[in-house]
Amino acid sequence: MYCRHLTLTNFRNYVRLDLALSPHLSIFWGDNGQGKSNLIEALYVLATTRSYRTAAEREMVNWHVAGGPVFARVAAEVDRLPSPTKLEVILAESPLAPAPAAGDLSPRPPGGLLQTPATSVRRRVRINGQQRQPLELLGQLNVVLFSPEDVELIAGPAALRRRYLDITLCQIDHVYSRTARRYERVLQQRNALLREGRERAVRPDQFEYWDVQLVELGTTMIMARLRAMHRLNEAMAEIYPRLASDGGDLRAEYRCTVPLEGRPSEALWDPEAYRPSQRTTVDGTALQGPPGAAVVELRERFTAQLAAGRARERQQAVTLVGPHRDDAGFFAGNVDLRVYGSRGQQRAAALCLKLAEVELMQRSTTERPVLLLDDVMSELDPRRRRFLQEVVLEQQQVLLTATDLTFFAEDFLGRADVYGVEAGAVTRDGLGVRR
Amino acid sequence: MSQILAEPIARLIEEFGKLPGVGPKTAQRLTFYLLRRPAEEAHALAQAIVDVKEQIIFCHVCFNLSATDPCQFCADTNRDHTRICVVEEPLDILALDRTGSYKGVYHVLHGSFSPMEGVLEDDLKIRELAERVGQGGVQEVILATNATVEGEATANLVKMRLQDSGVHVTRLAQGLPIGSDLEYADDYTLSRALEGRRDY
Repeated sequence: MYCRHLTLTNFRNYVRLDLALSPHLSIFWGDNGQGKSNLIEALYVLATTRSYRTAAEREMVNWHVAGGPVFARVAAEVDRLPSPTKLEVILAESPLAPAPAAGDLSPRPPGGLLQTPATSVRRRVRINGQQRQPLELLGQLNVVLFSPEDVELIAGPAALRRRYLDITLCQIDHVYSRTARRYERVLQQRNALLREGRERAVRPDQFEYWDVQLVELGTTMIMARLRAMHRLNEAMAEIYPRLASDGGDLRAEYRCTVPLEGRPSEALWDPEAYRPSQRTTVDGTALQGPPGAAVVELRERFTAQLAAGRARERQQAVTLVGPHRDDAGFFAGNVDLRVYGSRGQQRAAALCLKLAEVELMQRSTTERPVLLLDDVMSELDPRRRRFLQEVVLEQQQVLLTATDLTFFAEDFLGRADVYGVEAGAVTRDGLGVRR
Repeated sequence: MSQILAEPIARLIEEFGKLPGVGPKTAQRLTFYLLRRPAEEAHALAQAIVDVKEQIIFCHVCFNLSATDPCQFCADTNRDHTRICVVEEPLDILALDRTGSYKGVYHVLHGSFSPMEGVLEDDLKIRELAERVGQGGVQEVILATNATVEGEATANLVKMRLQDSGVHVTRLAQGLPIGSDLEYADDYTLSRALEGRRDY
């Protein structure tokens, strides 16, 4: 799929932008603070309903426009199967704080999954001119974003890795996005019940419903994540040797709060074990026949682990088992990159993960996602820069920002649409002007 | 504001502002609207507010809000008293009774099982329902709580507490809204509708 037209109104420093995009490579070039990354962010908002740069949606609205109601609008025409689609996100000032919105993917403090920040901006979504739930935007335009901050996916806290997996899966799996949303609600209620349990007497069987929901929804999420990680590993095994000089391999490992040791691993990767909307419904109950053996086993282990940690859980008044506590580790050879990796290794691993995500998305949706590269060239060494340029030319649509064009090979530039970006205006730049 | 506006006006704006869904602007508009209306209207409004507080009580049987005890539903001998429909809020009775297709009686829980809002089992009229069922004469309890996570949790809790009574417990069907397009239904609703399908 690709975005063939992007329209911005009052979005960050753009008062108005109409931009036709090629299905191949577009390079946005200019000094810092001119609005290059805002273009990348706009596409990201259309794909995920959220910004990757800020939790405060207010910041995305250009407040300096005089007169009239203040709002920001991002719209795009997306060329995709089965038919082209028009997507629109409108951020408007709201007199009341909005209720937690569907499919929320905003950054949030560690510990949770999908929750909305306090904000006075209302978000509206239209698909082909029809008003829709924000959640329905997911999957309409698939993007993979790589920015310098992504090194934190390898080196940073677990919450970032969970959020990354959630955003990736929400784009390719509707069952996952609905399950994650419901799980978050159940988790909050269960934690509240644990807290209440410290203040007053709570009959143990009041936990029954929340436990069952936590296990069923959580199991669906864990299985989807395991399968995604498995596919990411397959792709990384091919990509990493081309990227890293150490000749080693890169492997991601899911660290689950439910013990997975000795699991019949083949069963977990079995497509029959977790097939969205056919074998299991959102809350994990059987729709056509009983759930697969892997689902049953994982649920049993989840339930047992929950029971084993009950005392500690009551004491801390917080749910300690479930996908909201899981993590992932990245290993080059046997080296845990989060702890022992050099910054360069971590950066390479992050890039490898993102390129693997492209493959994952293509396998899951049969269409290639749009690759967004935000100011990443300056962070990479010449070898990786060269490699990335090779890979970029294999992609379908790529949007890339850069402050310096000398990083790029001549033939690479020759195959790109190069745009100059200055003070919220985008101009098609001649080759002579660039030097 | 108190320096600019006369004290009674400011006070009414403040009181209106405490109402749910009413912001400062609306509070001002309501206040100045009332100022321009005849005095009788203001008296009627004030009296209605006082009456609702002084005259409305809980029905001791079903805990509906009512001016009489028992309430109009519980006192109505033409209704089917062997069937009890369990709802979260008194307003839900209005919705159900408007259908005209339910002739049984009701039971209001006054909330849903939502620990986040500090509502646990003992804050709901569940024990009272179990006692009511325990007195006998009830054949079916219909759980008409909302189709939310909390509504489901509430239904589950009520079901557990009625287990020993041997009463037949049913739950409202969940699925497609009448007059809606299949295409626009979310997959959660759709999968529930599939689960709840029946012979045709």
